[in-house]
Order: sequence, then C-alpha cells, then structure tokens
Amino acid sequence: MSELQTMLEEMVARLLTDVATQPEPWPIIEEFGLTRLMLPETLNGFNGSWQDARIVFELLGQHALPLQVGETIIAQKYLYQTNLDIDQQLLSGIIGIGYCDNVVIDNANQVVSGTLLDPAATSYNGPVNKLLIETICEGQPHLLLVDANALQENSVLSEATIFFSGPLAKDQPNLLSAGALLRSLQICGALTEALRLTIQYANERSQFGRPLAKFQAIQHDLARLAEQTAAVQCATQAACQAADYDAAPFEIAAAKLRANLAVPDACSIAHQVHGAIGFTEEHVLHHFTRRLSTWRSEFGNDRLWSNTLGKLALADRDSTIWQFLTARGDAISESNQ
Amino acid sequence: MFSFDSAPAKNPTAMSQLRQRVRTFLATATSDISPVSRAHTWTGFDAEFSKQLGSQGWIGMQWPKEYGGGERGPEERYVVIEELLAAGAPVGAHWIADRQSGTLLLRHADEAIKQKYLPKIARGECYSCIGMSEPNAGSDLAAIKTRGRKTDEGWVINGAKLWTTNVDKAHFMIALVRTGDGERHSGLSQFLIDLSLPGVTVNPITDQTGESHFGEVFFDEVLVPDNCLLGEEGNGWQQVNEELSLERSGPERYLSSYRLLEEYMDALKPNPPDEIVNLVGQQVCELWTLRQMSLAVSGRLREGHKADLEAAMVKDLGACYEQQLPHRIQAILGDEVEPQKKSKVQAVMHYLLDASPSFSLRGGTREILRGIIARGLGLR
Repeated sequence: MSELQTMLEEMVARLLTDVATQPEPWPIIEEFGLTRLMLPETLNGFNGSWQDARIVFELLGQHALPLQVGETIIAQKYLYQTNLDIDQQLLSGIIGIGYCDNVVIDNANQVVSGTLLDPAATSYNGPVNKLLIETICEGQPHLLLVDANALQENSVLSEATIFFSGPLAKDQPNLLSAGALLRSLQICGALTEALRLTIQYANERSQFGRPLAKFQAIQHDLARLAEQTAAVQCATQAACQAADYDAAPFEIAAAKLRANLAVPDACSIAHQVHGAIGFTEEHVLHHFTRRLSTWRSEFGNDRLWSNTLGKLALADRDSTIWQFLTARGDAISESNQ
Repeated sequence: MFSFDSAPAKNPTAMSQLRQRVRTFLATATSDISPVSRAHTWTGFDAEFSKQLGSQGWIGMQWPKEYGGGERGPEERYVVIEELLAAGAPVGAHWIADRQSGTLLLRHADEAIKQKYLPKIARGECYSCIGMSEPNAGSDLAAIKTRGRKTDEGWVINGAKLWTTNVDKAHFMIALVRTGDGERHSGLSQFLIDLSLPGVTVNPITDQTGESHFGEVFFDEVLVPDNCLLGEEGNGWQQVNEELSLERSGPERYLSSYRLLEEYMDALKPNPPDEIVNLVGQQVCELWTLRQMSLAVSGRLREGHKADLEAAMVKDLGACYEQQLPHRIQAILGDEVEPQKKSKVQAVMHYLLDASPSFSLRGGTREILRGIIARGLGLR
C-alpha cells in the first residue's frame, strides 16, 4: 500500500469506529467526504481508484456498517462519469445501486417501473433515498437515477420518478459488476473480523482445563478459516487492480465467486468455535456471519458468476485457459508500471 | 496477522516476451508428449529434456554466472517455471536441484563444492534429492536418527532415509543428520552426500500408480569429506526451514491437476449446458485465485519478507484444489465431451485420481501445514 492509502485506511477506520456510537451517523460520514471518494478533486473528491476504494469497502465490511456508503460512493462516481457537469444536488443523499433488465419507461411522465434483479435495500444495508439503476435502453447500457420511495416489497419499482438518465460510461465495470466488487470486498472485511473474533475467543475460552486454541481440532479449523480469508483478500485485491485497468469482467466475476465460496465454511467454523454464546443476539459475531450469508446472494450468487466465468473461459476455444489467464495477468501488471 | 499484499512484477514487458520464448521452445521440445505424461508435471523424468532446458539458460536462472547461472530476477524464473508446469513439461530430473538444493549450496557450501556441482546442475546434468523423512520420522521430522560422526578423515554417516523423491536417479542428496547430543531440533546438521559413495544403498519404492518416484536409502559407515557439512554444524533445523518456504508456494503447489482442466475444456462440444459451464467457471475461479496467491508470496519473498505462513496457506489450499478437481470432473463427465476425445480425458483423470493422494503428503502434510498456520495465527 502507498503512504496515501495507509493514511486513508487509518482515517476511515477511525471514522467508522466513531460513528458506530452515534445516533445519526450519515451526516458525519457525508461531512467527512467519504461518499466523494471516487469523485475528482474539482468536486471535493479524493479522485480514488478502485484500489483506493478497496481499502474503504473492506473497512465497511469489517465494521458491519448498516449504511449504504459503498453503494453511494459507486453511484456518485458513475453519475459523474455519465455527465461531467452533473448537478451536485443529484449526488446528495444515500444512493442505492441496482440492476434491472425489464424496465418500462414512461417518458411523458418521467417515471419508470420494473423489478430489480438485486434487492438494493435490505435491512442489513440500510435505507436509501435514491436508486441508481443500470438497464438496457435501445441495446445500450443505460443509467437511471430514480426516487427510492417508489421501491416496494419484492424489489418492485412502481412509477418511480426519474431524476436523471444517461448512458453508462465505457471501459468500466457495469453496475452489477461494481456492486459485486463492493460486496466481495465487504465479504473480505467481514471474514477478516470474524477470523479475528474467533481467534480471540479461542484463546480466551478454556474447557477441559486449557484454552480452546490449544486443541488441534480447533487449530485446524481456524487455519481453514484463515485460508479462506486469505484467498478472498488476494482475489479481491487482484480484481481491484484489474478494474483500474479496464472493465475487468473476468476478475470481478472471479473475486465475487471466490468470496461467495468462502462464506459457508467460514461462517460454520466461526460459529462452531464460538459455541452457544456466538449464537446469541447479544454477541457481535452475527453482525458479520449473517451479513456474510446475505452478501453471498447480493449482486450475483455462485450460479450467476460461475456461469459468467465459464462462458468467458470458453469463449475462445482456440486458446487454452492458461493462455487466457496469463495474457490478462501480464496486461494488467504492465499497466501498473 | 498475515499479508497477501502483492508487489507487481518488475518489467512485465520483458516477462511476456520471455513467456512467449518458453512457449515457442516447448511447442517443439514437448510436441510428442502424451496428456498423461504431461499430467506428471514435476514428477516426469527426462534427462534429455533437462539438458535442453539447461542449454536455454532456464535452470539456475538466478545464480551467479561464475557458477553457470543466469543472474536473472526471481520474476523471470517464476514465469519460466509456471510455463513449464502448465505445459506439463518433464522437469522432474533437475527440478529439486534447481528449486532448492542449488540455492542451498550457494548459501551454505564452500567454494570447491559450488564449483563442482552448480555448473553441472545448471547444465541439467546433475540431479539432487532431499533426505528428510526416515522410517520412524515422517511428519515428526525432529525425530530423525541418522547420525554423522566426526573423524579425522571427515564425517561418517550411518542411518536411513525414506520416501525420498528422485532418490534412485539423483547424483547427490542434501540430508538432515543428527550430529550433536541435543534433543529434537538441536544438534542437527545438513550434509551433501554423493550417492555413489561406498556404503550407500538405494532402493526405489513403487507407489500405488505403479511408478517409482520415491525410495529408500541406507547409509552404512559412509565417509564424506569435511566440506560436505553445509552451513553451520548444529544449525540444520533453521537451514531446512529457510529452504521450505522456497518449496511450498511455487506454482507446482496448485498446478498438479491443471492438465485435466485443459484437456476437459478442450474436449467439450460447442455450447455445453449450464451445469458444465458453471463447473468450468468455478474451477477457473479457484485456479485464478491460487495463481494470485502464489504470485503474492513470491513477491513477498522477492522483497525479502518472511512468508512461511502465507506459503503454507498456498500449499494447503492448492493441494485441496488439485485433489478435488479430478473428483469433480469424474462426477460430471458424460456426453458433453466429443466422443473421440473422451478416452484422453478419462486417462488423465484416472491417472490423477490415483496420484492425487500424494499431493497433500509431499513437501509437508496437510496436518503439518495447518499446524504452521495455527502457530502463525497465535494459537500455539
């Protein structure tokens, strides 16, 4: 990590620790400027790359923050890139992101209806004021910023007022991929925290006259939990490097799938080591494990991303998968020089 | 706790050119090798191929030129070895000498030994093996009993080593031997033992695939010169551990079953059903992630950081992947592949089903690796 990134990490970690005890955290986060992470400096942003965003998105998962900060960061970036002169008022508030392939746009009344493929607002992720939706208009990827008050149960959007509409900027991940990258980084952060909690508990709790950590069965389970965490760290980091290079359809799909694959064993080990106390509402463990389970479904479950990856891997039958992986890897690391 | 922050490779333009050169070379040098032979990766033995590779300058790439090395960077060596492994080139003859014994000699041997062995290794003409396990010391390496006794003429070695990869073909062994009175980890030293010396008896052992990649060796009053004691007397345990992180994170720790994935994908009919596409997608996802992890560890070692914990994770996750892959293909293999290519896929699959139990045994068992990780996490 660069010095700037280390500073960013320290500042955001402190901010997230501070707001955890505040009744109204959102205004503090907005005031800090965190939502402008990926906006240019001319809009008082940090001009952050995906590799910078990695640090923030991971911390959001590590702190289990019940607010759509990551979604708002992405929405602001995408809105700005669609229209460089965008009215800054449109960027305010909590903006959820979603994907919808069946919208009906009523141009006369400037309203839209449809069903979101991904629930943009869940109880874990917190409320939203607006929604940024990617859809297909006349065969092209298109963004719509709409009023979130029109979002009903079952992710149905009914005659939502359109605040803004424009084509998706090229050479960047589509909104579904951006959401998947965000969730895979939140999963990474939550795994890191679940691992930390579980190691701490295993060292503190004694049974049969010795700490749980001294039992080989427990040690090996924790080693597996750490391996899953490490794999997700590595995959998400590589995906962010790729997203700074191009739209990274392969790497983001692989990172989200790898994160999803880590979830079941990781949650099971964390709970098993914690025993009954970890199953109580009072204990913090479920803030992480229940989110992990939810995030696995959001912005693409295993089926969606393994299918995407399989199709990409089988797209060019004249080259081997090894040639595909190394060509992508070499191109991305060349751009990093 | 642990860190997989990866430093990007230096001068990657040169890397992709080097990658192309290796591929061009392999297209000719391995053109007549069958898929099952390719699936042997670094256990495939071919003395002629090793010589060819040596003449390309692709053995001992990082060693000083005065010892026949290429003075190339670790990134370049990584590109070469991952290409060799992915292609299933028969690198077994020189593999251990190139990966760890040569490096160990550079670090711990005297000038005469370096001059005698390193240029021959770099030419692909001299092979080594690692003498660690013994009849009563497998995972519990500190229980070894093979002894070295100091005499006026040199050191006299007595004892036995077991499960030694390449032992019947290697010219020398780097052996861990008890030289002091200390218990367990203390009083151990490393020796270079020329396997043609009087008193050395080597027997290959046939494994369950019907092949002999490992074996046993007995030392009966074997006299080795003083300069065959490598490094410091009594410092063997530490030297061995330095060596192991070289051994545990390389691409050979996740590519052992790669051949099957490539052959399976090659055999698929156009537009396979979703069930198959999804299976391929998941295998590719895990393969890609493991490559990122292996690259990250090699980056950390390159920058001079310790990476024992990270290397153990790569090896354990890599072995699990290598072992699951043939089972997953077996579970699904059906009419999605071209009929004329099915028998080729099945042959590779059955070879790997038989060979893969060893993947989580060799180079440190799964249990030992998880113990290392647990220690790194502060649990023991």
